[in-house]
Amino acid sequence: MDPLLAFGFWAYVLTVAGVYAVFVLGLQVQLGDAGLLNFGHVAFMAVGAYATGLMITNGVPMLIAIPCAVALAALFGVLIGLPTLRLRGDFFAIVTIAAGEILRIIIQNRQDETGGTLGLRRASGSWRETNNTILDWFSGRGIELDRRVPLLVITWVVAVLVALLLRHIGRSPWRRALRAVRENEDAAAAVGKPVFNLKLQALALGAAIAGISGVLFTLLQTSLYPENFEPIVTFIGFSILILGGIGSYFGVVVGSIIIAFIISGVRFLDFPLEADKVAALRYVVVGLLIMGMMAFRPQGIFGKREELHLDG
Amino acid sequence: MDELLQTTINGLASGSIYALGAVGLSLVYAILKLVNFAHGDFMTLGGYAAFVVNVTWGLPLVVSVLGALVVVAALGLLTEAAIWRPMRERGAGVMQLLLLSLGFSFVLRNLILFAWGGETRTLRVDNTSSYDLGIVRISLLQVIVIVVSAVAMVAVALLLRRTYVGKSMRALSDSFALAEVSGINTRRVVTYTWILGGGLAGLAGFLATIFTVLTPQTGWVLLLGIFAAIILGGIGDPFGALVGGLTLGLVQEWSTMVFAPTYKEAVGFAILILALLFRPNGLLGHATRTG
Amino acid sequence: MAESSPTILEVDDLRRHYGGVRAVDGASFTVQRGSITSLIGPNGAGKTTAFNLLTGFARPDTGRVVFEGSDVAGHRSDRVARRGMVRTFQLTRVLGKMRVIENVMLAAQQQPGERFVTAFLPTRWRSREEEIRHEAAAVLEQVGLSEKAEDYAATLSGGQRKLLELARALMARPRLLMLDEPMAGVNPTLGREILASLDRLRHETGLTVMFIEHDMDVVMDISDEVIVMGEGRVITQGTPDAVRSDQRVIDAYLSGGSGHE
Ligand SMILES: Nc1ncnc2c1ncn2[C@@H]1O[C@H](COP(=O)(O)OP(=O)(O)OP(=O)(O)O)[C@@H](O)[C@H]1O
Ligand SMILES: [Mg+2]
Repeated sequence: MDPLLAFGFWAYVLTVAGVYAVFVLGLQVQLGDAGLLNFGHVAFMAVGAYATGLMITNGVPMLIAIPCAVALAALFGVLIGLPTLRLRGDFFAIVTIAAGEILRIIIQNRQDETGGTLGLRRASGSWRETNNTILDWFSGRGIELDRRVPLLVITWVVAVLVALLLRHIGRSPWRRALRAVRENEDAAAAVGKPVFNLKLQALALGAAIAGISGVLFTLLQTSLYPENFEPIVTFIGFSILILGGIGSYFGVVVGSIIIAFIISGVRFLDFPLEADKVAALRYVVVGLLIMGMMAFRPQGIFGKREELHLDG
Repeated sequence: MDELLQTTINGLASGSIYALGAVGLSLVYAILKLVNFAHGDFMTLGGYAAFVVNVTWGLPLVVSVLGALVVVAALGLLTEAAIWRPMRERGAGVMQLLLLSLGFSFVLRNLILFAWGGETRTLRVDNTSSYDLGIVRISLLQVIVIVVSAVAMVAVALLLRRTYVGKSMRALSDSFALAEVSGINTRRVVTYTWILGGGLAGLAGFLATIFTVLTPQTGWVLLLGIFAAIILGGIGDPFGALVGGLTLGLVQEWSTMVFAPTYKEAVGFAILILALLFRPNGLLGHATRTG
Repeated sequence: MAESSPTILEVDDLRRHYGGVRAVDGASFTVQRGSITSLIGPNGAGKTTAFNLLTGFARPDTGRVVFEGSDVAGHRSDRVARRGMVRTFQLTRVLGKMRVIENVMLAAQQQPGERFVTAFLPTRWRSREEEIRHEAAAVLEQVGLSEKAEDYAATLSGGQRKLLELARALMARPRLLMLDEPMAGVNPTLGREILASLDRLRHETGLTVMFIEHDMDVVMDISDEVIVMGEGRVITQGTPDAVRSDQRVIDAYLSGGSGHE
């Protein structure tokens, strides 16, 4: 491969990894801290993405659209959580996945507004022009950047900021109460911790973070399709979480890079096989990784075994 | 009226497939406490086994059903020996097993994709004949699906209620430990569970294949509906799973009288959510003891 | 005005059935402020269920639970706890994936850092957190678990778990402390020491203690009042001496199952 092209390609893979990292940080709050098994996480990403795209294509300025989209994702989290958070853990998982699918099917069907399966074009609005302005600014100073670099940097800055923010509240009494709820709701309630509110807050926070990943995804892809938000995305998120370690924010970062390289990066290597066979093998590897981790190291690479709680 | 009858027939057919998948998954859950996310892919494998027998080898359709049953039951036993039993012996919890099965579903689905590619496949089956019953039409395929499922369900019901193995299974689903001390050979029962659960998955996969088309995604796509069926019926109750599956199929088809058919699945999931909120113990609703 | 009433808890005709089992079947009793009141009765008498109903862990079918002058029957468990009625569990519920000291710190009240928004602002909660840490260490000292403070609670023995439950409940600074068989599995000498320290605590802070216990010597020794339950009802309530000589109590124990354990 041409080295310059190769650089652009790697930049793309790393940006995808960054989007996943943000997405999974949201999962981490929900599962790692609050013990909520949210199998419909991709729905919050979809809300973030389509809200951004729809506002932008309807003329809302990007800097207003983005925070609104994140807020909407959080609101959607509250909306889903209010009736369902009292359910058993495995029921909650199924309900969230179902809610996510309903949303996706609606997006697919409301073709007039969302473009349906034809896609929502130019969802990232004037981002391309902004990107060019950034590139020109650098080349004016003698630095020629690949056109993918600005978003790569933005994505990882956001990912690191979110991780730092989570680590910041990770030491707070709020998270202690949340971990208590995760492990035993009765014990937490018996000393007065508001179990339901804590879970709702964790769900909404995770949803907002997934909403941010949806915004980044929109900037990366420029067009949005309903099939970008199938349940498999959530499950890839879970692979990252399991690999990096449930409970570890740093693990999320490492896990997303590894998984993004397996899923997108291997394309770079030349196998004497057809493309779809290679694609299949990549997911086989992901599956084997999940299985191996669950069997031999359920706390993941960076998680603490003593703090792993997998039976909510 | 015609429309109601017609959608009812369609719903019974698609509901039968959900029901078969749900009964198998529910059996495995009841006895092994395994929420098997690979169950849909077990079904897919059944479809491909039938495809190999019927198309690649050119044998009759009836033989291909056997192929599906045997291959998936064998896969169940194989995973039991290689994965589930060792994990149980190491004290793995429900969530750990669930996530493990999720990983296995990735592996299985993509091995299928690797082996057979992503093209849609069909069996050598007459998918054009249909019978005009005056006010409604019923296709040959619908007849096959409904009749085969009904026979399978009756067989399973008899097996669970009348035979020693079936009674042992029910004992295990109440309490594995208690069954063990009362002298039931739990290993044997677990073996039968996989044969039965796997066989039902194979059969469901076969029916899904002739009723729709076969791709590596066929079973995975049905999985959420199957979960919905189980929850609708009340978790861990095979008879409930049957009712849940049929309900789901019927509601989905009936909904096409009101909404566009493309919303069919969404309606099914909406029913699931409503049911969970208002009848968390299933439609048949016997409250379980908690605390 | 409720504050000054000598009765801290008044339970009136409380009922709860599970299927055909009338776990609590019209129980009525009162608990005096500042007292140590024990709840006794044969196995299956409905003692734990009564605790569940009082503290919001189960919903009564009917009945009133007047705590500090207001009816809390059917209220959510966390609300009841914040009002000052804090219970421990017969089957301990320690948070095994958290350290022993964290288990205790969790129970502290008035920590603004437990609110979502304030959690982001350490300056608003850090000093309170230090107080809490000291207080938690003191409570652990009181129950003899200081050595274990930094261990994960999962590593504790059965008796130590009971002690941790007690520490956690104490940390919440309850007005009414409800202990479900707190001494089961605990070394008897340590158990008596702790009861003695509870006795001191109530003189110092006006704490009221209600506890379920099978060891009659302990019960008769420490209680101001004894409530006797049998088959879901309150058979009698009175001073240890009055209860000891009550024929109905003796009958309940003779007919009502296995009695002590
Ligand atoms: N959640 C429940 N579901 C069904 N039955 C219950 C439930 N909780 C309690 N019971 C029944 O209610 C009765 C009273 O039980 P409870 O635990 O209150 O007794 P107890 O007095 O605390 O006994 P012990 O001294 O053995 O702890 C028992 O028959 C028990 O089986
Ligand atoms: Mg009890």
